[in-house]
Amino acid sequence: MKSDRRLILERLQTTPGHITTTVTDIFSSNVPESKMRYIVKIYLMGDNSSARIVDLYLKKEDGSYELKIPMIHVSSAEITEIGSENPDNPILVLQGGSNLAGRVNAGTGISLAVIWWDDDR
Amino acid sequence: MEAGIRPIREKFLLPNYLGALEFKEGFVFFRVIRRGVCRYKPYPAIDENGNIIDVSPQSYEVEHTLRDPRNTDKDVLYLETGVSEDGYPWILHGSIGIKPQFINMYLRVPHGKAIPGNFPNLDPVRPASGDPIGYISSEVSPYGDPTDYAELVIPPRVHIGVEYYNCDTERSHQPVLDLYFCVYKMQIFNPDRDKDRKIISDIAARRVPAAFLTAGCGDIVLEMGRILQNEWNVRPISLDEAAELR
Repeated sequence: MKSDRRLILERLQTTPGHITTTVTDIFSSNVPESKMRYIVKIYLMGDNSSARIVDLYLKKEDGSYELKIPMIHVSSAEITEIGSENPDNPILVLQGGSNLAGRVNAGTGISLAVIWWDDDR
Repeated sequence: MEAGIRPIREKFLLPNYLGALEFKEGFVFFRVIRRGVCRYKPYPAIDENGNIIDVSPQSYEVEHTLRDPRNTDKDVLYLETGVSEDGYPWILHGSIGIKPQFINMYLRVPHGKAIPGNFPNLDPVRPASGDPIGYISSEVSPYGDPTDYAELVIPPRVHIGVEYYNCDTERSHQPVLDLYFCVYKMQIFNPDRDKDRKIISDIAARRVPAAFLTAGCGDIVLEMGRILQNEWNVRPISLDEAAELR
């Protein structure tokens, strides 16, 4: 029988996104109610203009936003990574009905990529 | 492995093992004379024309029999005659493992008929809607070690059908199967023959160790039919009748 780790690796997915100076949802729809979503890693791409500060939020089921990871420094011409290389060690866990959101302090916005997996198929 | 579900390899019978095979009409009692382990791994799911099946996200693939990709006229899980070339009554016994984890497989036993694994009080399973009941997934019968979650006993001239549903919301997947079976060539005990009556009674009354198999899958029991009864020269009987034979 395959190990759980192998099953998780098969489930890994990458979602690109773009956040602006207002709080922006990253996933196009909330996590399905029957699932848990494990956020393993987030890549934040500098906007090649200036260093930026990013805040990451949890969007709760009631639609409100809770700051989870504040003040991430993103250099203008670099990729900033947060999270681990290990899919068993997520930095955030989203419950059904929630979403991940972000905001940048200035500029026209920055791009990001989220590595994640859902607990159910 | 979940409690109460065992790898199918642990349930394969050995030569000289005794058993009772349940059909709709009753039980047939046997001894395994010869067995052959048959495995088709990897078996890429194909359609009737031999094309690889690729199921789109949250989509369904219609029913197919398990054709041999090398010759699509042949069904892998099928016995064309009632007895083997060397004259033994025979059956197939085994299970199917599946990957990847996103594919739900629905069996139809026999081809075009009922889907096993439904709750008795529920409406029929709808594979086209991806109903979360009555399916086999890699969680319960993994590729590489199929389990008795959907233990199949296939008598001669019965086709098995399979349908697939891809649960993945973003990616297409190709189902890959592990067909792990044994073909048993058997001596059939005839309740109308004096010398067989005691062994039938011993099996039915559990006085000797014996396997109990159901022709079909789970709660779906297949009919034996007159043709097979004639070919195997036996009439199926109830367990009570069998236990009382002297």
